[in-house]
Amino acid sequence: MRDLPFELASRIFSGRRLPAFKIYAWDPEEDNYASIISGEYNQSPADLTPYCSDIQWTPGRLTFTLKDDETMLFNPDTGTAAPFLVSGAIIRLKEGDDRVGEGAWLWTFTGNINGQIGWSRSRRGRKYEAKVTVFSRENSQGFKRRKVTSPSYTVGTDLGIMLRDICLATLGMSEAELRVPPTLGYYFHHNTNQIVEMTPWESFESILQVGLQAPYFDGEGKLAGYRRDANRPPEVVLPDGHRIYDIEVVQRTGDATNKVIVTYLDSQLTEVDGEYQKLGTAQITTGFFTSEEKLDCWWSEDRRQRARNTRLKVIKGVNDNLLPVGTEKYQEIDEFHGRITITISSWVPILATVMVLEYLAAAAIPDKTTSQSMNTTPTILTAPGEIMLTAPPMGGPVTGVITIAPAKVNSSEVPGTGLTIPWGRVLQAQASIAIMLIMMSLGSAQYEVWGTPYDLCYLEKTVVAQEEGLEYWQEVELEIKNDFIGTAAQAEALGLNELLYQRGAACPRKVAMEDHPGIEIGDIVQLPDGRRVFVQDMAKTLKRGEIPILELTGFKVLTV
Amino acid sequence: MSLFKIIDWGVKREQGAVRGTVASGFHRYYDDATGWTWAVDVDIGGGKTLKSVPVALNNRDIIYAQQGFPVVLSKVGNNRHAVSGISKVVVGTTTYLYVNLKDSLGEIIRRETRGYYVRSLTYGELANLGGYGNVPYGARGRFNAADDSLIEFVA
Repeated sequence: MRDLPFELASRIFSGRRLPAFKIYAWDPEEDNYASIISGEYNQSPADLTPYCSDIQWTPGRLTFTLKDDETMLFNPDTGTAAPFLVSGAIIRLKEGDDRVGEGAWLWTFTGNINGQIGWSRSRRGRKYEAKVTVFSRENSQGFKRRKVTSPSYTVGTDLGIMLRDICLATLGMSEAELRVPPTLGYYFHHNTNQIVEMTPWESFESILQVGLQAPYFDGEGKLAGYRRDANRPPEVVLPDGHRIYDIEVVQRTGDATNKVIVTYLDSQLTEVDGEYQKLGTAQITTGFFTSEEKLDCWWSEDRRQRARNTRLKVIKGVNDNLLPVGTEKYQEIDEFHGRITITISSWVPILATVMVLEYLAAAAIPDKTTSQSMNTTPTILTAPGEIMLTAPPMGGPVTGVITIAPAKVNSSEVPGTGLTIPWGRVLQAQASIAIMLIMMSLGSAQYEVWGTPYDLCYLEKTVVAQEEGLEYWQEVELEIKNDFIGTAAQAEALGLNELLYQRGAACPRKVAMEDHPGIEIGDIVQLPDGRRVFVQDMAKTLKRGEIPILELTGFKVLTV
Repeated sequence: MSLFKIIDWGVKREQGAVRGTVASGFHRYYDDATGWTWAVDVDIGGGKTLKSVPVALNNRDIIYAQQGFPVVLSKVGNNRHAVSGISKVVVGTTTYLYVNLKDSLGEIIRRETRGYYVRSLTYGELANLGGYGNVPYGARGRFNAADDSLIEFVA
């Protein structure tokens, strides 16, 4: 509800009214909404009031007829007032009371002409008139067709700041054009929040929806929000004396929404698990020639895959050969990769080095001979002896002389020629075996890392508020998707409120009553008999000197 | 509801992507239109599982999709869907509020939570659900959101 200036309010509610109005027009080339609404415009607006008739007012549209004469003032081509009636010309309606200064009147409509006004000259009746239709700001395509992208806002930022930035920075509005408070009392729950390629009006709706509000432009042309919760005290309580002309229970044949589905993103990222599986393999050749090997194992080629509870599975370890030569350790470095560390025991390279040195040293060890065997050589000292034998002719013993030459036997000590094992060879062999053992213990080790891959996702949650006792075929759904809602409490409040709103909207009402310039869209008006009406739209016809009849269109506020 | 609204609603539903989670391993599937293709079952929430949803071939990210991962399904005509990518949004729980609109002003008669959620097992659950020592620390389970009962171990 608009605040009425005290002077005007006292006149309106005194029971003796002298209603008055003014319609002004501004040339859009001279001034814009910001300067006009703030009252700092550069031109003198054209006062169209004396020429106006058939004035039809709704919050969204103002239509009137301009009575022209032979001067053809409003002719769009030649009229001197044509600049005030071109496309984009800003038209405002001001309502008040004749006995109150115009400064205390209320602006009840602000909008602009879209397109070309109609103008006609009738030869028969010598009528010159122009038909003008003015649309409120929210009905301009600038708010409902073009799309905008806002900066991104982080968690904890008030939603009102985003709304204000869209208005001021993106749409070029001024502070004077805003009636929404700088902060709405609702905060972003997600880390990144942004409007991307949405129309400004959709943006306003999404932002205000979190606070159970909806946007509209008031009579002054300022952006405001009205509450959509009907469970609140009425803004306007009509006194007993207020004239109510008609109350109509409007026929309605459509189905009423009885199920509201609110879908939102939970502000906390959730981990989505895959199956426990092999995440990667590692293979290494190691041995005495190294002391420590580190193998980084990533869960995917592009190093973006996350995993948890990772474990090392040894397919073939470094100690699977002849000697245990080292240790294997696995460490999960972060969610993207782990590290296998193979440490070769320090004795392995030391022993290998020592054995090589021993091998070399053993090659230089001489063999020690300890044999006592004798070598005996017989030597004939003189000429060989003679054998002179004579056999008798007739037989008989052979006679003769055998002469033996004197001989000598020399004896000397010589090395043994039997089996022997040199010490050096034994030592070399021992060193060689040790070296070979160490060499045989090197090899290739194979590992696998197993774990549970996961990814971080937003959890899309749903709140369904529905009437109790519905059969499946009776459900009439309304889906609401708002990514600025971050908690279940907000979603439940929105779902419940929207269900009540829609349920109430299924009971439309029309009330024709004496005009009350303070009533706005979204107000709850309590009639003198106690019934309440949620105002969705209004209409009235303005005539000079008459108190307008205000037709409220809305719905019955549900009460227990 | 006007005819235009019904048409708008239908168009919107037609264009809208469906989110779900992979509910099976990838398998070969013969489709009359495309011949042999890879396919997977997809759980789209509310107890509904689409069987043998073909996998679109033009998105390399899908190679990371596996059982339990959220995916996006797109309409491919003839009222069928195809897995078109990995989703950064996974379908969560649904809370039903049953409201009395006849005798009161929006009193919530009962509240029901459907779906499941995944969380780490508590120490007590480690001892009770799997037998102490059988289930490792850090194990996670899928729980029924309605009564917090364990459905399965997931990791």
